[in-house]
Amino acid sequence: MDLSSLSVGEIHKLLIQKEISAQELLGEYLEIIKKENPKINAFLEIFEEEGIKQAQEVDKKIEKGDKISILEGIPVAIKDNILLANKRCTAGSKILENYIAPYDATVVKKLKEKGAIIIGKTNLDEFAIGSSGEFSAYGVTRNPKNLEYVPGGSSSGSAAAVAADMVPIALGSDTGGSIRQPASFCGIIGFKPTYGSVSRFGLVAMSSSLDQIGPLGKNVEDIKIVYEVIRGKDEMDSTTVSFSQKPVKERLEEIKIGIPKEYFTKGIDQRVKEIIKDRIKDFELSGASIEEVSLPHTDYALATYYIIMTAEVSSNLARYDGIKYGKSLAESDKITNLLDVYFETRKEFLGEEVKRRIMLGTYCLSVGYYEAYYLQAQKVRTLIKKDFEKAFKKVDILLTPTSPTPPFKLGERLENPLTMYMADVLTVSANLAGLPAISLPAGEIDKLPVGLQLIGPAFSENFLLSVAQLAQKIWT
Amino acid sequence: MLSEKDVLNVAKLARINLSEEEKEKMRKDLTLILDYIAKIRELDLKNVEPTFHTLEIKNKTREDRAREQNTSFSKKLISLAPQKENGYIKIRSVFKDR
Repeated sequence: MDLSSLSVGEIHKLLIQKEISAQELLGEYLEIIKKENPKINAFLEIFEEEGIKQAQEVDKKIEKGDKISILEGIPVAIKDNILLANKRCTAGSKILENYIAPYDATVVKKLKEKGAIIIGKTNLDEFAIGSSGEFSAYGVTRNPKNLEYVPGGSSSGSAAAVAADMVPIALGSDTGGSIRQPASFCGIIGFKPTYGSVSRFGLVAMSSSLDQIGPLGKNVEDIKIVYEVIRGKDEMDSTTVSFSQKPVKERLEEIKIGIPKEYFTKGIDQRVKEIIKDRIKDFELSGASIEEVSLPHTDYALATYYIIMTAEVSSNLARYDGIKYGKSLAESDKITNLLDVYFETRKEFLGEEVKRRIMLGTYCLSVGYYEAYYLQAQKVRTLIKKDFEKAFKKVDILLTPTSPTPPFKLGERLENPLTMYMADVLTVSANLAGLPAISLPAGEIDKLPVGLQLIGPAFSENFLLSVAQLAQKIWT
Repeated sequence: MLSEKDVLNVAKLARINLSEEEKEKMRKDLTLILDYIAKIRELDLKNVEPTFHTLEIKNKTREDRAREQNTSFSKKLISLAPQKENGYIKIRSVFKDR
């Protein structure tokens, strides 16, 4: 059976109509995983035995005629910075190589309650820090569309697993584009919800004012199903809020799409621009109104992001000190006192890019630089947020490329950290302003995927997803 | 341009020892990145309030009451510590070890 074109809803139908059993379904996916994963390195761990047991239970329920939820028996992959109780959670770092999660993240708990089969943990850039999937302590992940290219990051494994049909859906986390950019590079859909709409309890914290968990998948319906399950206020994450949804739109004629001119400037690959312009034309021909808008502080977004994010990384990652959990050199002979435990443990078990960001963040927070960098960046953030608020008074939604370029080759950007950071230039603003944003496949350049990003007002995910659904209809 | 002394000072604050090779690479990389991010300093933002958080929520409080938690869970948490003794996390001496 060809699973690649089936949505979660269609699989669910096949299950309840007994056209396929949950065990057969899982077997098909496991077969693809076993065939593809050695080449792609999307999964760090697979839970075959537990999965099969769970699938048997689902089959029993179906046999008895019990009602099953839409996610019941559906294999889901989880980025390895999200805790799954009693399983290893490495966050892609050597320092957490032996760390066994003591509890389930709220999103995992919710997926389990719906009967989803958590089939494995996916590879990522160490602590979700990276834009290419090359900064994992457990090897690079490769782009399923072309193994010589990066899958994007940091949710590299989740995006690659979905793109290679190893799972229909996966969870990732997005701090500056880490769901949307790999989705764009792998030719799938990635959705970052509004800051505060999904609980981060059990997510390994990277940058707490920016991190959000969200789904990756192959069609908007699936994204919506997963989002509806994982969203909601959680007393374990005090940044979550309850909110009422903006009404959905049924017709593109009712929608005004804003095109921020700053997202089509010189740094953007000409071929990417052309593809996105073609898609804008599709929207226009289907009845949507298109209007150019301006987000004047866009040019400062990346610098602002790299200050705020690294500052928060430096404080969040201070917990990896060799004392409470994770690997430690506390018992090593060369250690003579407590301070040495911190210094040597962090030297030994943290990766190069992680160290670079901790250092940069520490610098931006240090005496004499705090006002000039950190506080200044938080002020620019106010301006960036206001730019969006202004634009959303004129239009319903914004459309941009997801990434300035198509996927790049493995190794190509490792020498110069700034060229790597540029990969996030179009995605970071949504995080800085806390807005929901989705990346949809928009076309290809030399058989490499190009993504398009839709950004909506805060807490407009229902609306944003309805527009994404309408877009999907035009293109298929 | 950062000096080696600057790099060492930041490394000390960040509690990371750097190898000789790392020191020079870090100095080069941080200089490059700082040159780029310095662009936000050109903006005059005297009258702009900072946004530390995009949500308009202030300190969320809840009732100050102890919650039930079984001891096996706390044992599990303690068991993750690299060094422990009698249910406590153990650390090396703050000053020189004897």
